[in-house]
Amino acid sequence: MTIRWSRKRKNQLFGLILILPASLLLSITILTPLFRSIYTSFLDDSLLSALHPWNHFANYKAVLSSGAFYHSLQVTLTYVISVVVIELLVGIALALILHSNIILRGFFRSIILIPWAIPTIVASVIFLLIYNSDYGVLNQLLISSGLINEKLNILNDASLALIGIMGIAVWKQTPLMTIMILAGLQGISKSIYEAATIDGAGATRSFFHITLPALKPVLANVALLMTVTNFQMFTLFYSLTNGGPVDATKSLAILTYETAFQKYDLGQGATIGVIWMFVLLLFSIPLYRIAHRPQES
Amino acid sequence: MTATHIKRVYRHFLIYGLLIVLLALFLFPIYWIINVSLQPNNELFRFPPRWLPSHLFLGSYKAVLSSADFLIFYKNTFLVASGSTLLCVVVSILAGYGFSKFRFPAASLMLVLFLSTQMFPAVTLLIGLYSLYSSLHLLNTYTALILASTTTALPFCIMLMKTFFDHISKELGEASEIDGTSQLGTLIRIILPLSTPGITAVSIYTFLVAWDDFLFGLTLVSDLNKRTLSPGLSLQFLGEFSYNWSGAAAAAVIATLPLLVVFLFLQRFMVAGLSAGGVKE
Amino acid sequence: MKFKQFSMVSMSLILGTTLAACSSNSNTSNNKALPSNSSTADTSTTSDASKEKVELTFANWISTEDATKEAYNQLIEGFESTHPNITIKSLGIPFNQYKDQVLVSATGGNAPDIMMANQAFTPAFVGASIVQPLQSLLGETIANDILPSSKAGVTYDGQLFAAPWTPHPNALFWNKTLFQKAGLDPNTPPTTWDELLKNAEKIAALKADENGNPIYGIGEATKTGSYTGQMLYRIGLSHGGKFVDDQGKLVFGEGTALTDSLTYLRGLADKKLTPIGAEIKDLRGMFANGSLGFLIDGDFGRNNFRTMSGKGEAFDNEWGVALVPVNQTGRSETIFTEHQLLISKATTHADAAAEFVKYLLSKDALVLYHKLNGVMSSLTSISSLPELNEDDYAKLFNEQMKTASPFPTANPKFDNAMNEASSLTVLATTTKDDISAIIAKVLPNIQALYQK
Repeated sequence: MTIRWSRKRKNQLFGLILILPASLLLSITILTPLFRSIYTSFLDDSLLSALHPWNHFANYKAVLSSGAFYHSLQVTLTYVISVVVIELLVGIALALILHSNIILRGFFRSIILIPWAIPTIVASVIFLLIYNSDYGVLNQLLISSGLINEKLNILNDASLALIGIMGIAVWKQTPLMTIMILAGLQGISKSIYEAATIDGAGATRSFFHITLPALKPVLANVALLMTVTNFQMFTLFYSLTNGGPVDATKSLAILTYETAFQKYDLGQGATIGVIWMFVLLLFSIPLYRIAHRPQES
Repeated sequence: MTATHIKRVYRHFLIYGLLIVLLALFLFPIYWIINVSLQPNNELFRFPPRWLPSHLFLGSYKAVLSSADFLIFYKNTFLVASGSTLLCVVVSILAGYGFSKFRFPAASLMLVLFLSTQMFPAVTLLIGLYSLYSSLHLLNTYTALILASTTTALPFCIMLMKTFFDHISKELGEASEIDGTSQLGTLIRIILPLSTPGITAVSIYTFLVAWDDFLFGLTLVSDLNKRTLSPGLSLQFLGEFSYNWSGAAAAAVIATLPLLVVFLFLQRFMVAGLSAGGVKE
Repeated sequence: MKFKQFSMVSMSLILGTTLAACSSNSNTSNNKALPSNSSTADTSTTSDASKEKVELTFANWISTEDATKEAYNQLIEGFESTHPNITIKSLGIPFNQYKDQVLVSATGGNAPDIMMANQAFTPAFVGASIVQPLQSLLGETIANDILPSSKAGVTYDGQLFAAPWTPHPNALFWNKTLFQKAGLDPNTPPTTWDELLKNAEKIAALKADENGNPIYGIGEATKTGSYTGQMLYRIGLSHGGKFVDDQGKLVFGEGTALTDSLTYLRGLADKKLTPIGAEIKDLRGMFANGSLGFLIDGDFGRNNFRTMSGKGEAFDNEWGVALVPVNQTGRSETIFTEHQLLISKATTHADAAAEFVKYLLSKDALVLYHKLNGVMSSLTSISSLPELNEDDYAKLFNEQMKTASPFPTANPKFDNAMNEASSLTVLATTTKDDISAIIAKVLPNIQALYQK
């Protein structure tokens, strides 16, 4: 008995040592500025004044009582949820195709990654051209295929601008999703499929009964990743629409930026950040649970 | 027999059809970037746009390739992205294994804590990050950029590695330990070879996170000799008065080509899955 | 096996990179005080040995942009050759992120010694107290030489905080080829607002060129963003409007100017006289491509159009430039943007920094910069030099500068206000809502910025 116990202790110690480098890295580089920001959210901290007095929850009251915050939250949630769902569906489809026995599989697996390698900052200006209402190739494509008669002004139309940005996000991020899901597919043992085939299960059945359940943790992980990535998305919004037309694409990231660097109110900027973190945690915990539920054997 | 045959043909038709449609959607913008890069800027303002350059214009490529600054940005980005990838992969393998194999009372809480470090908007962290790196005397160093990108990618890499290790049967590790292999030896010799798809995915992810980084590169580095690609391209091509679309596109094409080779090489590691490892489920 | 090797290699590589990176750690925080070793080695023999070697950092966005790179290099060369004890280290920051990056580095305790700015950036730097008054550093002569129109934009609470460097008044560019096609005299630009509109309508009636490219009468910025707000402010000026009164009180919505301006913009949109949703960078490309009859833009236009049209100097024959037509105020109302120079509060070499600023303001520097980029000077004595008025183009812009207004930037939130104001333009050009309803919807957001 005593031997077993000490072995468990030894194991735990080894486990802790394994986690140590990660803990150190994260606490050094992220926690300090993070705590500083949380502290700032309780200050009347304007870049334009020398004094930064403690103001209790005044920033929180101001942010939570402003329509701008809820509007931006709504824009962000619409954007994030749509993008993540579309990416999951397309990602699964692509991963399944690239997992099956097709010709030039390795080549396709590589070229599908290219969109992700194009720097976002360059992608966004190229899409400015593609979407351009007067000269854009998208209008040309849609007109010549007979889908529209009048040229669309995608980024200047309140009902289309967000969709335009989503399109770029999906284009840019789905490749990553695909590769992650593909990695997950590789992790499913072939023997299960073989057993299922012997049992006479069809492709559709084995997808829903074997593939999907086995992929669940990986899918939850990538969904989580994409949720956080898109919540943080700034470059696309900033360079494509700058939050416009009017406020149609003013996401939380743009609102935060504006508050901190155009209104110079670092206190309120940090406050939006703290509230944002809680919203995001609320979203993430269920996904996290799915991803890391203890495996039933 | 014929029924299944027809079914197979039908299936192939479906798979390749879908593949072609999806590839067309994903590669069209790439084609357009190449198309833009081969035209001078003044040719871009026309409707209908040119599907192919009216004549082969290589001016943007010449300008990019002869720019010393671009080569510096490129080298810096490569260094930072490779450094971040190595650091992140090793650290996340260790931590992912730690979380997967050993149960600590606060493990779940710790993972959530790791995760939440990514949930704060980077914009509001900028001043804090800048002061931190400044007080560590790390401004204008590759170390700063490597650390910044690594910590961005790390929480997900850890979770993903943990998920992969969870898949690998515990019995395998225990069996090997009974054989007298050390715990670290088990991880390296038994577990890692079975996790190549996961490791590859995590490497590609980290590499591209560092590759695409704009905000950290912009903020933590101001020395032109340490500038990375995204801020560098923004500085060179997205100016005060106009955008140099053609130049930016050419730079993106040149920057992406070598990556394609890396992907072609790396994707081979995606093939080896658990199926090859003879794991009993 | 392979993976054991792999992990060993990775480990050692990581250690290697980390160590190498640590050792290459450049000591940015204190290298200002250190003598720079390589670049000044050759000049040290000629320089005064008793003089301390100084390295100054100069935050700017012109050092790497293609259009201004060459001028920047020559300017720095010119300065360093006459001031061998001072070296200038360029800190290039992309224009779009310039303001926030300078604010971050300055509040993080690493302010550059000298910073370039424009009227949108300067109020932020002054407001955040990261720069110092320049009157005594630059001397009375320079302070008194500043063009009257520039003076207000660099004076905060009665103190000179920025040295106005190169002003960019906006004047009216017109396309002679389109004039001809529309049956107008290519050498007679409009002088009144009504003529401008009539001409624009005639040109827009051409609809498309022989390649099928759309043709518009005039290009006005209509995309969300502070530039669009600034252009609305310019249109407002010509309708007799103001943004703030002499006491700094917001009067943007008072009178009929704002309504008139938005009605003008809606008219352009309804008659398809202007492209909708375009930003200025699009409009410049369109003008250079012969798709716009008119464009109101700065003196950098010529250089931009030469490059963007792909025709070089030959393109100069296809357009002309004139004073902005007169509207309700009886004079040619326009705005000017301006590049300015500031010295940080935290610099330990204020005198050397002032030397550098004085050099950039000097005749030598401006004649050089003018030759390469056609820029002008904000100093009376220099803007009147024959070298800066050598052709009609330069003369026109110097003339336009006399009636150009600076932006009312005393309030650092002006930039944000202009961003909000762009919503007025967007709503006027893309919706059918009543102009008064649009103003009632947007104006409170601007008023909120100017409270307290």
